[in-house]
Amino acid sequence: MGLRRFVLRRLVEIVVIFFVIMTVLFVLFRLAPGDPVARMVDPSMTPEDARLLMESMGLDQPLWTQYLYYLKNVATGNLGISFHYGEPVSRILMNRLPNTILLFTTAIVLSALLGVFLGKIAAWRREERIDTLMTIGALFCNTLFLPWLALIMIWFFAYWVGWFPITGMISPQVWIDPSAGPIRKTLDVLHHMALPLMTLIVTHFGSYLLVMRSSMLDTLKDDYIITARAKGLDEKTIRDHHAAPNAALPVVTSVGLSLAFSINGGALTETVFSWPGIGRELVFSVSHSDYPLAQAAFLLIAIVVLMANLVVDVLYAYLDPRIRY
Amino acid sequence: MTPTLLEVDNLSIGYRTAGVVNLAVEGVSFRVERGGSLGLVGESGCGKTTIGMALMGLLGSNAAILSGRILFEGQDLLTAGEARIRQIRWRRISMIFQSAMNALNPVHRVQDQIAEAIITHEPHLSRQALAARTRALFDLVKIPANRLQNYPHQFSGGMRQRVIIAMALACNPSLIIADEPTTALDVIVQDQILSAIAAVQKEMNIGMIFISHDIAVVADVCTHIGVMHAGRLVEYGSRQEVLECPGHPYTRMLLASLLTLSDQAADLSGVVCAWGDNGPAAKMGCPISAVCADATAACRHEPAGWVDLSATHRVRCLNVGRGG
Amino acid sequence: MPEAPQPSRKRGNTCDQPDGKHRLHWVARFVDGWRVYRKNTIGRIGIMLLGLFALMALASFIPPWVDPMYHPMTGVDPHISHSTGPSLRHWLGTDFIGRDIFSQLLAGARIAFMVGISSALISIFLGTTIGMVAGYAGRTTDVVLMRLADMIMVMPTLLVVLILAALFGQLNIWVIVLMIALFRWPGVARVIRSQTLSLRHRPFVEAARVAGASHLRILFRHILPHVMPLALLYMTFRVTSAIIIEAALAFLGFGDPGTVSWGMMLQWVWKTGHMFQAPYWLLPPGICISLITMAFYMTGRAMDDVLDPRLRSEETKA
Repeated sequence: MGLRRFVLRRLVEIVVIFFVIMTVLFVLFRLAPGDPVARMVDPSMTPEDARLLMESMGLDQPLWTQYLYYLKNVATGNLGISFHYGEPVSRILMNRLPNTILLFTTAIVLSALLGVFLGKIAAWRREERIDTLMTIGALFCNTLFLPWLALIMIWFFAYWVGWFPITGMISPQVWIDPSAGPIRKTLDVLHHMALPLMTLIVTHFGSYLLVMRSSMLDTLKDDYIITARAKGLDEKTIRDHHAAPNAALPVVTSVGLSLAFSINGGALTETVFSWPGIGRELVFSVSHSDYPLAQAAFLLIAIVVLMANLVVDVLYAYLDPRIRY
Repeated sequence: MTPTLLEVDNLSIGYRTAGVVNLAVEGVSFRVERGGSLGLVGESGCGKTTIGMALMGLLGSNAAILSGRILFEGQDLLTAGEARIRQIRWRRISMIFQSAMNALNPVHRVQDQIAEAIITHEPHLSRQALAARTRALFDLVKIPANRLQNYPHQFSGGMRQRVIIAMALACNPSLIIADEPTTALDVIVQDQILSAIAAVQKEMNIGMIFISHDIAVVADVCTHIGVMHAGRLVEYGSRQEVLECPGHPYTRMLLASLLTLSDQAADLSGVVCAWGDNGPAAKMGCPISAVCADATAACRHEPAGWVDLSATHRVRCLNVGRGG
Repeated sequence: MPEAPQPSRKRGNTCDQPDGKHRLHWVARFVDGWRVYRKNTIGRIGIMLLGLFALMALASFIPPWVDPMYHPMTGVDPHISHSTGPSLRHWLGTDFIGRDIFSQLLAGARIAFMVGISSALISIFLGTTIGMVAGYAGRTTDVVLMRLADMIMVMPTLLVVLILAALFGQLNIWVIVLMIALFRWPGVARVIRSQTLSLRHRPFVEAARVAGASHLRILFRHILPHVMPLALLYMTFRVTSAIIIEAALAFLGFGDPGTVSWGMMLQWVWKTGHMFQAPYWLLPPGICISLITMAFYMTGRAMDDVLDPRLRSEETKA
């Protein structure tokens, strides 16, 4: 009951926000200095192709009509041809999207789990040495500058000890080899994913740990903990089975609140590790003035962020029975 | 002869705050028989909840047992090890908590919470047996079985309290400590809950300690009444004795504070007690000397010892037994 | 400072008193706060670190003055034209075209403070004003403003500034500062708004309204002083995020090419392929960024401890 309506309402909100973002982007692209047409159409295209493109995007029409064309194009995914790749932008980005989702989702989930696990222990052993250690460790990791950490990681693990590859998502030789089965390919991807994943986890788990810790400390004051103890349960069960599930809920909220920060980190990580995702594509397209690609990449990232927010909200509503029922 | 179910002997408990130990309970002694029920009455802060917690071994880390023994079925709980205490908890002594809102874990279904209590002490039960037990418990407290899968927040206050009662009965304990079980409820529901508790207790012959600040509630349900004030037990006797013939001025004040139907305080001045009139009480031992109308100088300076009004009724007051 | 002949009121809020007493109270509060702050270990370490970086920032003017070859941007050692390790001439070595790394590091401290503080000030100003207006006006204004705040909070600041960089070309450092501030005010605004909401119905506000004060006057004379400590507290967190975003931008190559920030240094080390051979170049900027972030965070936390109970006691007094 409540859950379905909740999701629908959030979807409506997302559509509205995305609409606003789209419009603002449209306005900005037209307002910025320079020729807006040159932004969408590669000057090095043949005049015929250029004219076809202009027509399909309505670039020769008055502003209002252009806007309508724009809306239609975004809805249908026709966002122009990349200057650099010479391919339709949507095809490029759809190609990249799964890579970003893979890295990003895994990183967030693992960081959250790690933060919850360690935060639970830190709160349980409050004021002891292990608590101080973990709190300071979390604060320290929080302040690490992500690109710098990424470089250090590469330097140490890839260059010095050589355990992991320096950049990229796949080793071409593995994927070209016809005899390589899916397991080998998966392992290869995981091998490449290890360093970017570690970088993201190290910079993110700290805040989740601190949230979990303070949430646990609050939870431990609740009456049902006394009930659990009165029932004769041992301390570990009380901590893991009674306190932690309640304390973990604010961590989910915290994940949602820091999604913007996480996406920033994701884009930086992809860039340093040359992980072929949409974040890297955005950075790349901006530095090469590939406007169609940049615009589309940004819109896609906006969608990803909004959907991620929705997922987190739904997850919270699902996990907390007080909301679900 | 079977030993008394519970015997508390000269129990004193203090709380450590900022280097100082504050006495919360001082020299309290009482006993509870199987099937009997003791009502501990007093205002908030008088130490009655502390006693309840001490019986379950749930005192906070800043609490210290300064003296005394708690003999449960012959064994001193204060010297028993942590493992033994955990075994006894819920299996032999269980608790009905006050604020049922928070006493149940909001993210677990009620059936699972009751089942958890059972399975901790009887780990070899099969799932069907467990389910049957929980269903039977719900029947006992008259909650429909289709509510078993609900979460605590889906219940009303009264229903939640019934769930708590069902959970307290889950392992067939010998003693139940009910800590202000009806304080958070309205009077009608309160009445229902009290009847439910009384019925269950009689049927299963469970000993009970009923902690409340409301002497009217306790008067309804308990066979014995103990009145506490500032950490001390000032009067203790059977229900009839304490209610009809309150010896201690504080008890009198508690009873007098009950409102009669005419919305005026009950007038107890004319109560004639075979054991004498309302005597004054001593200070340094009698904390009510400041408000007691008949306090003498002796009451203010000398500690009051126990005076036995009958074999089962005793009062802590210097001026009792005088005259009459 | 003439003091109006008012009965000495130690308790109660300051806002209804004439200016003279008002300012005195502020100073007294600051001194008290400082005394409490000093005892806090975390705060002490934070302040010390900040002091260290401030020294660095100030010292950044010295090397080019000593010898033009030490200038962080344009100073090139005539004898060295590649990256070298630490030496007596160059305490941290040189970068890929022979510029002194140590003076770059010092200049970076100056840029960090500049970017951090100015961006934080702007976003605090924006956030406080918007938060107060939203909390005070209520109804539609509140809803509209908060929705706007929500939308801005959702967007990843770095990537938005990136897109703007794409459209408007190479960015000037002040434009970067402004843009960061434009995306960081919602956090402050929310907090200020809830504080304003709780203050809105207080007797002293009602009294001022009855006395005929205009809304603007109420906002800035009466509500602002109560809300200010909270705003200042959040400023420390704004500073850290501004520094980090600027560093990330510079790292990706979108910083102001005329300024040497730590992020820019990391970009050079990375893009010129020296990251494996030049730890003396790779490590210091990153360490500095982390340390200054930690310093501001610690200071903010200590301030939180100082201000929070006082805020609470202020509530009960008024």
